[in-house]
Amino acid sequence: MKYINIFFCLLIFSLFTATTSSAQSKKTDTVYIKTSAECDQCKKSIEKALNYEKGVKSARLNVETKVVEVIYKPAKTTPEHLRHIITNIGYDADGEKANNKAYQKLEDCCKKGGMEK
Amino acid sequence: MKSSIIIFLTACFSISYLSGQSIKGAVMSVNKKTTETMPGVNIYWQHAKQGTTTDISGNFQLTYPDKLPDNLIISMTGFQPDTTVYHHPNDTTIQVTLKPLVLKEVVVIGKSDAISISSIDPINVQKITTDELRKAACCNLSESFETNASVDVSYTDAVSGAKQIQMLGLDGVYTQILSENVPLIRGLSSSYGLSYVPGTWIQSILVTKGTGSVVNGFESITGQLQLELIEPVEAEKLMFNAYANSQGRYEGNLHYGLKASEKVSSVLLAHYSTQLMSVDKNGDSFVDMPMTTQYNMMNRWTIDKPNKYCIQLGIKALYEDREGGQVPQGDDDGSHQHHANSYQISIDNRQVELFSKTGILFPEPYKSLGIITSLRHHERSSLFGNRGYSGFQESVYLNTIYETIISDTRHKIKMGGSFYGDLYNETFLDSGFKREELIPGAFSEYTYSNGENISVVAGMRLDHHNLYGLFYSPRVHFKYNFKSGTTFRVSAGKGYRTANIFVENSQVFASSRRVIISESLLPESAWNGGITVTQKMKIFKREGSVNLDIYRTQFENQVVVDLEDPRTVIFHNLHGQSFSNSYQLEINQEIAERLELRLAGKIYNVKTQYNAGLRERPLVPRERALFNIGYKTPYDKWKFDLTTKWTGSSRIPNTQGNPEEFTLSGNSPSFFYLSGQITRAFKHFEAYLGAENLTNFTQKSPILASADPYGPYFDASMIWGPVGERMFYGGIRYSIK
Repeated sequence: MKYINIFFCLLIFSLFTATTSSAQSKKTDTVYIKTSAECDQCKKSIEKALNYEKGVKSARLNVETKVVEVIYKPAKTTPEHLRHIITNIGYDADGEKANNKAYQKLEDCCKKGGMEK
Repeated sequence: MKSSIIIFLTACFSISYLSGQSIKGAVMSVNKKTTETMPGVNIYWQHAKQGTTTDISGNFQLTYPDKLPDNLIISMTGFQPDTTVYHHPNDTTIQVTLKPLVLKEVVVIGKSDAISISSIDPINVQKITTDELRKAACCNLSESFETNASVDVSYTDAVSGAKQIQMLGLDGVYTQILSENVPLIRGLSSSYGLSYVPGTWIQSILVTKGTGSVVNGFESITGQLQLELIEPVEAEKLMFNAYANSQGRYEGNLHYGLKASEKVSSVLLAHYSTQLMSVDKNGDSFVDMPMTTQYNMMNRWTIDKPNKYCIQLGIKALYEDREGGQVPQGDDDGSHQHHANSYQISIDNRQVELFSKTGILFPEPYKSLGIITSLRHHERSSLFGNRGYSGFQESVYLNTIYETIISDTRHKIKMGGSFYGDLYNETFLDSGFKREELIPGAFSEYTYSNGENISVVAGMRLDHHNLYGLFYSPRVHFKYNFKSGTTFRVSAGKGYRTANIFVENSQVFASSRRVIISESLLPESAWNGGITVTQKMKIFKREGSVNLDIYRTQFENQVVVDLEDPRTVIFHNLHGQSFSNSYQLEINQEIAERLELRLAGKIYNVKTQYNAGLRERPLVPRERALFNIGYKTPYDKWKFDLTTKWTGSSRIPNTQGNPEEFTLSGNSPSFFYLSGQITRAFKHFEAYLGAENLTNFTQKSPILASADPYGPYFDASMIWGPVGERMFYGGIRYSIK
């Protein structure tokens, strides 16, 4: 029984430490990606998705310009991958088209033209 | 549908002397912190029969009719419509709330606070969301109130490991517990029923303080807990959760969501938990927590035809086995030999339930019909030393609710009929107790809301009990919003219930007390009244609220549990007074970005007329306090939570008749209880680590005469404090949307 306990503790601790150890390298780059975000709801989901991505230090989207500013560690991720993350949740990223299945699931205001008259 | 909808109607128009003046505005829905426009909303003058709909961005323009006053009706299918009277064109900005038209009694609006007190609902109701539930990740409904100030949780005895809730200083049996309007904990399940709802199944809990709505029956006296479980429509494709703690408890939960088609969706919830280690840290030869195994399963289906009907069907099945009592001897060599005369506890519960909910929508958006049914079978057999009990309950429940308006949407009315059927067959020691309760009833509830600051709910119901005659339960709620952000509420009402003395009182089993039922017991009935004042405030632009409430419960009849003689437990009807006064102050304040604070204090005065006189209800602390602080990093990646509870002194029943070594002091000491949790979220999963009872305060020797469990002085029910020592736990939650 003890072993199961120890296993659990180790498992959980390793999960916690996995993220802290990745914060070692300091060099960061910034990339600007034009998205198809329409409203605050879209801003929230894009920022959240990017912030949960490995190697991303911060992601901020300006709804007016639809441009998201991503500060990331080039050792951990690439702009191509970041664009892929955005298309994967249903938004265009620069030239790349959104994943259609994910796009269909978006809230109405996030669909193209969702905020226009 | 869950998100409530606020319509902001910004009626702005230019003063013009031309005929055909028009009203302009925009209709939006507010979902959490973001606003969304609502296209396609109908807006029309009721009498002039002129109307329009909002455009794609929710804007509209409508000319005033020639004849005023007229009612401006704003309606959208699936939402309750709103009506505003215009006597002459004016330029006020009004804010209106539309509720979704579903079988839900209470809808809470606003930001996604972990706990929010609605300023719109006329009933004093708090919503505990998933966010709040996850602050203390363990394990089932009985542990869902760790950070809540209105609901108290306590152990009932030192041997069965069961937890009970209390509201307003009275036992949880006076609180009606429902799962989406279906009765959840009634009859035999009242002893362990809280542990039959795994924490991960719970989407949110609505806590109503004071008398509840008549729509849900006559049973709520001190309050109502309305659970919302994970719905098929919103269910994740897959969710897996594993939990373990340092005292040998393991849990696993699996959720599987299925969208069969546009119309049909389903979710399967499965739970397994076990307590494998027999821990006896206090050295009284009894295990501190019984070895428990629980299998629990629920499968529900939703068939949704928008604007026509919505059908929900579900099945639940549960098996639970608790083994406790004296620690097996010879545990070292694994032989698990019990002393010939060792005191053993075994409790077996099996439960199967079928339920259905049907909502029928009419072309008129303000009309709806709801039908709720449930069928339940519950079996329990238990042995506490040499005290055997077995019980059997079969229940049928039916409720129909028809909702419509009178003249316009300011006046709403609900009417319906219900039926409870319960068959109990119980055996305690050698005596059999059998009873059949058949209770048809009818109710009507009128709601007035002027759409701005006043709302009133007045309900009454009449039920006929085959054994006890008529139950008459009138209930009233009133709410007034002041411009200053103050909400004032008053409620009063009556409730009834029939007691199940064996399962509701652990003293009967976990002690040597002789059980005396001194007269034929009548149903319990009580009046409850309360006043609540909620003030919203802003300190340095941070939102917060102060909530003060005062409640009194006055029993007309109560099944009094008289423990004043240490040799007996006497059940009798109330002869004299029995009441509970409760005063609570709660402050919620955001003190920095994502840093929230909760402070609460409570004073209880609960007294009952026993054979020995009017005395304080035993083991109910006179004062309680709660302090909770929570911090989140951006995007909720990390969450930190710390809760401190202070429990004041309570009266311990008289033990003067016992030999000196088995007498207890008249009052329990006060104590602090500290718990905390850290959660880390990743893309698909979450991990949490936490601790309970950090100060490691326990009630020393919680069992009276534990060395001689068959002797006359044995009593494991005198519990006022924590039995379990400091405990650490951890778990993971993995989900795919």
